[in-house]
This record gives sequence, structure tokens and C-alpha cells, in this order.
Amino acid sequence: MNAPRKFLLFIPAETQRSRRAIVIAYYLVFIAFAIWLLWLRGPARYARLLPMTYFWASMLGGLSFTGPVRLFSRWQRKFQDGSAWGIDGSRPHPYLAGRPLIQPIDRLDEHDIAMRDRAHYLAYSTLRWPAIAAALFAPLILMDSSPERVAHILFLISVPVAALFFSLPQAIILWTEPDVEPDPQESSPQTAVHTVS
Amino acid sequence: MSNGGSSTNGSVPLYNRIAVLRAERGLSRQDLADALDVNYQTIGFLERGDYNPSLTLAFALSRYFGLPIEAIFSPEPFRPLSEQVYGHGRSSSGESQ
Repeated sequence: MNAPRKFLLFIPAETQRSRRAIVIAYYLVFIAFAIWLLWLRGPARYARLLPMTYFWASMLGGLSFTGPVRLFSRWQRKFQDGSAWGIDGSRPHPYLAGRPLIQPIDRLDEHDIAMRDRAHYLAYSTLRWPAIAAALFAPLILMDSSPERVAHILFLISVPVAALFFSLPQAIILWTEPDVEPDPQESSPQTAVHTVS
Repeated sequence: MSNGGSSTNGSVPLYNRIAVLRAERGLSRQDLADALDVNYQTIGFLERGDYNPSLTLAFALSRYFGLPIEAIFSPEPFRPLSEQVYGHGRSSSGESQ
């Protein structure tokens, strides 16, 4: 039986190469989004940015409770109601579908948790330096600015930084997750990608 | 048998016989993962020595295979089973007879 191909952001995610392509595509669009912010003005447009930031950050699964991007998991078959964990292009997110979320954190085994923690450590230990630098230098830059300009610059900084804080751990997992070699004992071939959280 | 490479949880390399024990019993990674309630990919990481299990998981593996933990995991590379059973490797078997 041929399992359906799985996609993340409309890109097939079976191999490490394609997963890395997803990360590159994601951050290219991210840079375009950050540049677009430069032209943004007015409170109404700023307000629209907040749900957009949430949407942007959750594209790689960064806002889900499960944390890691589980590309190879078969655990969704244990969900009796058929709910899945994330946005993988073919299954509705459990929140959006109105289905009960069945303690997804319990679905991570110890290796998943170790991988999640390592990715978050790597991401946040990298991001802390630009974040600290921005916090220290922002007052110097904004000292003589008008309130409107201050608000604009703070939005310019905070929205991409928020999205980056949410997405980077997931991007690290996507980037580093190796391909699974075929199991000789497996009678039917393993399907590479099953769920993305 | 794992090559005991650097593990993703940053601890010292640990060698194991999970792949051999699984093959002996004709189990797939998914079968073993279901029995231990872990992800099947985790079994692959264990077999390659990319991940060192917790004591809980090590004891679960020990119980499942009915073997002591030191028969499954070792800080030193395992000798080949043939060498352990017959006392010598293939090259020296002629000398021992």
C-alpha cells in the first residue's frame, strides 16, 4: 500500500534534503516579511501583525505543545479519533478541527524530549546575543525619536524576533533530523513522513 | 551492533546489541517500539548509538529481551557473538582446535 506523500509548507518532506529546503524557503519568505514590515504604518496595520505573527510562527509547529517536528512519527494511529498534531498539509490541526487534544506532551518519548530540549537550547543560546544587543542599543537609537517612530521601530524588531524565537527550535530539528534507513525486518516499507506538530 | 558514536544526549558513547537481538527475534523497529511505548525512530537512534537511553528505557529493554542490562549495553565495544560463544574469532579458531 502506498502511503500518501506528506508535505510541509507545500514541499514534500520525506528526505533530509527536502526538509532543509523547507527551512531555507521558510526563512527566505521570513526575510521578505521582515522587509515588508519596513513599509508598514498605522495602528490598524500593526494590529493585523499580531495574528500574522502567530500564524507565521506556527507554520513550523513552534507554538504547539508537542514541540518537536515529528516527521517520522507513527503515533497518530494511536489517536482513536483520528486527530493529528499539526499542520502537515493534509490533516487539520486539532484545535482548528474542534477535536479534543489528547495530552500531546505524553506522546513524546524520552528521545523526542531530549531532541526538543537540545534544539531549544541551541536556538535560545544563539538568539540571546542579538536579543541582549537589541535591548541594550535600542534606547540609544530611540532616545531622540518621536513616540510614533519608537512604536514603529519596536514593532519592526519585536515581530520578527517573536517569530524567530518560536520557529528557530523547530527549524533546527527539521535541519538536523536524519533520514531513517530502511529496516530489514520491516515487511512493508516505512513511510518517511507521517505527522508534523 | 551500534558503533558507539557520539550520542545526541551528549553523554559518553555506549555500545549496544539491540539490532542483533531484534533481528534474532524477527522483530521490526515498530514492533519493538510498540512494546516499549517509544517512537520507532528512537529504536533506530539507539541501535546506531546516536542516543543513550535512560535507565528506565534500559531496564524496559532488559525486561523485554529477558537479558541483563550488561548483555545489551556496554561502554566497551562488544566482541562478536561467535567469538564469545566459541571462545575465539574465526582467524584463531584453527589454532584452538
